[in-house]
Amino acid sequence: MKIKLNSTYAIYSWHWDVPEDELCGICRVAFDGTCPTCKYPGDQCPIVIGECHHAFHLHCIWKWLETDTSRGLCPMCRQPFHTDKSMAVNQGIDLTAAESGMVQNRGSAANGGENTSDSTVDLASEEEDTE
Amino acid sequence: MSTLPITSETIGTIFGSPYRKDAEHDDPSSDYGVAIDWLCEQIVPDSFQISEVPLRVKNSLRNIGRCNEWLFGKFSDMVRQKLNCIGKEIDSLLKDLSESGQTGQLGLLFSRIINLSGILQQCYLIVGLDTAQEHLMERLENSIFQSWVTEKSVWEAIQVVYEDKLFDEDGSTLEALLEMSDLLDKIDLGNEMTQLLLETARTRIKHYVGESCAGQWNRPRLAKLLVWVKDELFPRLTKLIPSDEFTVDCLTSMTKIELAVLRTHEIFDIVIDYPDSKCALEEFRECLITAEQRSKLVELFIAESKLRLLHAGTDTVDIIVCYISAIRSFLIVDHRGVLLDKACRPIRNHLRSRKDTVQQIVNALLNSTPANRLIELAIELRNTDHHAKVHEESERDLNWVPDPVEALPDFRKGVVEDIVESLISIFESKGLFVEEFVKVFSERLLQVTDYDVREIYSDLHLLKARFGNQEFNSLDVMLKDMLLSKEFDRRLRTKVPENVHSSVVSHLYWPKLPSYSFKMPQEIQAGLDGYQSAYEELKKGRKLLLSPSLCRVDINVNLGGKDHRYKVAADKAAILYFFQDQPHDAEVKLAVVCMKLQMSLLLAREGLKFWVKAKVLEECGLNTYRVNE
Repeated sequence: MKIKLNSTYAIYSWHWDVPEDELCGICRVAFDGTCPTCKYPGDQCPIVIGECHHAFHLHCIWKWLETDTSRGLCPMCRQPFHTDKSMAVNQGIDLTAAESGMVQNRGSAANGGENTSDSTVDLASEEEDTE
Repeated sequence: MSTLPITSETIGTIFGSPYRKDAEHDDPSSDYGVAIDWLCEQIVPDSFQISEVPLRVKNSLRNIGRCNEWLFGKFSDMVRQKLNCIGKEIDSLLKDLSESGQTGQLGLLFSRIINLSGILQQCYLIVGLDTAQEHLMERLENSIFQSWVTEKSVWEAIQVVYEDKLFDEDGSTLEALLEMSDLLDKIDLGNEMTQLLLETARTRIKHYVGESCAGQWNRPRLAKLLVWVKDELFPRLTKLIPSDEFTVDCLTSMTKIELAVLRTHEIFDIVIDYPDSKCALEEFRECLITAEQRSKLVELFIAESKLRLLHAGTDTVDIIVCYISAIRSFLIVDHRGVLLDKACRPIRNHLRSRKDTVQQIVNALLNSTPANRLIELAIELRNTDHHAKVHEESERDLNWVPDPVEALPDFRKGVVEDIVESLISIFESKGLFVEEFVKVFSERLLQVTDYDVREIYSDLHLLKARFGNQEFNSLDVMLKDMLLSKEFDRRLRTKVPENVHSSVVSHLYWPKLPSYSFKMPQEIQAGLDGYQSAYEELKKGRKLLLSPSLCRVDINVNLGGKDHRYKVAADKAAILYFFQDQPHDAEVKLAVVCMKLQMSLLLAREGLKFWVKAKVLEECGLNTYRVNE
C-alpha cells in the first residue's frame, strides 16, 4: 500500500499571544473577542501590551489614555503606560499618538476604532472580491 | 272503510249516551230536544251524507228560528261530547293498529275526519248558524281533530309516512301525501306539518350530504348539492308545504349547515389532506356562518389533534407538517386567523415542549433539497417577494385595525399567518434558533475546503431578513473568518506548500470545536508546520491552534496497483499512514493503533471501521487489522 498526499485542509483557531490574563483589564472581555464597540475580532480590534505587561484592547486603552484623569498611566498598576516594543503584538502600534488624539496603528487596523459599520455592507464588499 | 261499522248505537252501548240523557233531562219533547237528538244521530264517522231531514225536525227548527243562541249552545255541547266519544273509540282502534305496526291504517283515521267534518258542515247548514257561530264550531271541531292527530302514536305514524313516501319517485304516493297535507292544513296543523316536513327534509339532506360529500375533498361539491336541493327536493316540498314563507333558501341554508357539520367532523383529516382538500375548505368557509359552528370546529380540531397527533409516538417533523397544513387550511376557512390561532395553540404548546423542534425547524429552513420533508419552510424562507413585515404595534400606525372580535387577548395577526414566523414564535426568544443556526452553519463552514461560502452567505442573508440583523453577530464573524482565511491563503501562496490550505477561525464566536487529538502523520504535519509559521510571521502576536480531527486530507491510496482517492478526516488518514509504515502484512491490534497514534479508542475504532468498510484494511481477528492487499 502506498499513500500519496494530494492536499491538506486544516482548521485552526487563532489566539492572541498574551502571557497571562485572558481578559482585557478595562472591558473585561476576552482578548480573542472584541472591545464593546467592535464587531469583528482580530485585525479590527487588536490588543496592546504595556511595558508593565498589562494587556488591553487597543480601543479600550486608547479611550482611557484620552481621558484627563488617566495622566498616561496604566489603569492596573498606575505606571506610565508605554507599549512594550519587544512584544510582537505591539509592532506597528504607536500609542504616543493617542495622547495627542491621533492613532496610527498598523495596516488594516487603521479603521478599527471607528469601525462599527454595518456588517452586511462589509461582508458584501468582501463577497464581491471572492467572486 | 266499511270494515268497522260504527253507529251511534254501538257508541251508545260502549260509552253510554250522555248527550241523550241531557236531552232527556231538558224535556225531550221540546223543539230543541228533537233537533239535537236527530242531529246527534247523524254524526257518525262512517257516512258522509246526512239523511234527509224529517218533517218534525224541520218543524222544530223552524220553531226555534235561525241563529238561535240557545240552540247553538246545545248544539256545540252535543258536538263536543259526540266527537270526544268517537275520539276515544278511534284511539283504542289506532292503538291496536299501531301495535300491529300498520301505519297504513292512518287512512282510516283521515277518512273519518274528512267524513265527520263534511257531516258537520251539513249540520251547520241545517241548524242555520251565522258566520261567527260557524267559525266557533270549526275551531271546536279542529281542536278535537288535532287532538286525535297529534296523539303521539298517530303523529309518529304520520312522520313515518312522510319519511317513507316523501322521496318516492312514484307519482301516486305524492298524491296521497298531498291529500294528507291538505287535511292537516285544513284542521289547522299546517305549521306542525311544515315543521315535520322540514325535519324530514333535513334528515334527507343530511343523508344525501353524507353520501355525496363525506371524504370528498378534492372536488367542489356544494354547487351540485344546491342544484339537487333546488331541482329535486324543493319542488316536492313546495307542493306539500302550504306556507308562503317556505322558499328554496330555507333548504339551501339547511344544506349548508349540514355540510358544515359534516366538514367540522372531518376537519382533522381535511387538514392532513391539505393541499388536496382545498376545495372542501373553500366550500367549508361558505357554510360556516355562526359563532357556534366556529367554536365547535375549534373544539373538535383540538380534541382530534390531541388524540391523534400530540402524543409521544409522533415524529416532530410530522407535527410540524401538520401544523403547517393547519395554518394553510384554517386561513382558507377564516382569513382573519382567529380560528387558526385558537385551534393551533395546543400544537404550539406541544412543539414547545419537544426538545428537537428547534433543530428540525432550523434544518428544514436551510435544507432545500427534496430530501427535506419540510421543504415548504425552505421555500418560504427563500421566497423574498413578500417577506413578512412583522410590525410591532405602534401608536403612530395609521393603518391600524382592531383585532377581530373573537380573538384571544394575545392574538397577533402577522405572526399567526406567516408560516415561518409562526413556527419561530412558538418559542419566546429567538436565541434558541440562533444557537441552532450557529451550530448548523459551523458544521457547514467546516466542511468547506474551497473558501466558497456564497451559498451559506445567501442563506444567512435570508435568515437576517426573517430574524432581524441583530441576531446573527457570531454568524457574521464566522463568515468573515472564512473570507479572511481566503484572503490570507492567497497572500501566503508563495510561502507555503502548494497543497496546504486552511480556515482560521475566531474561536470565541464558533461553537466549541471538537478537541480530539492524535499524532499527525509526518507528511501532513510538515505542511501544517510551514503554514502555521507563515501565518504567525504575517500576523504578529498571534498563535494558531490546530483542531486535528477537523483537518481533512485528500489522499490517493495505491492498493494492489489500483489507485483510490479518498477525502477523509486527518485522523482516518493518520491510521492509514500508520499501516503504511508497518512491515508488509503486519497485523496490528486496535490498542497498538491507539497507543502509537495517541488517539482515543473511539476515534481509532471509528477510523479502522471506516477503512475496513472501504476495503483498504481488513479485520483479521478480534480487534486486529491488516492491509487488505
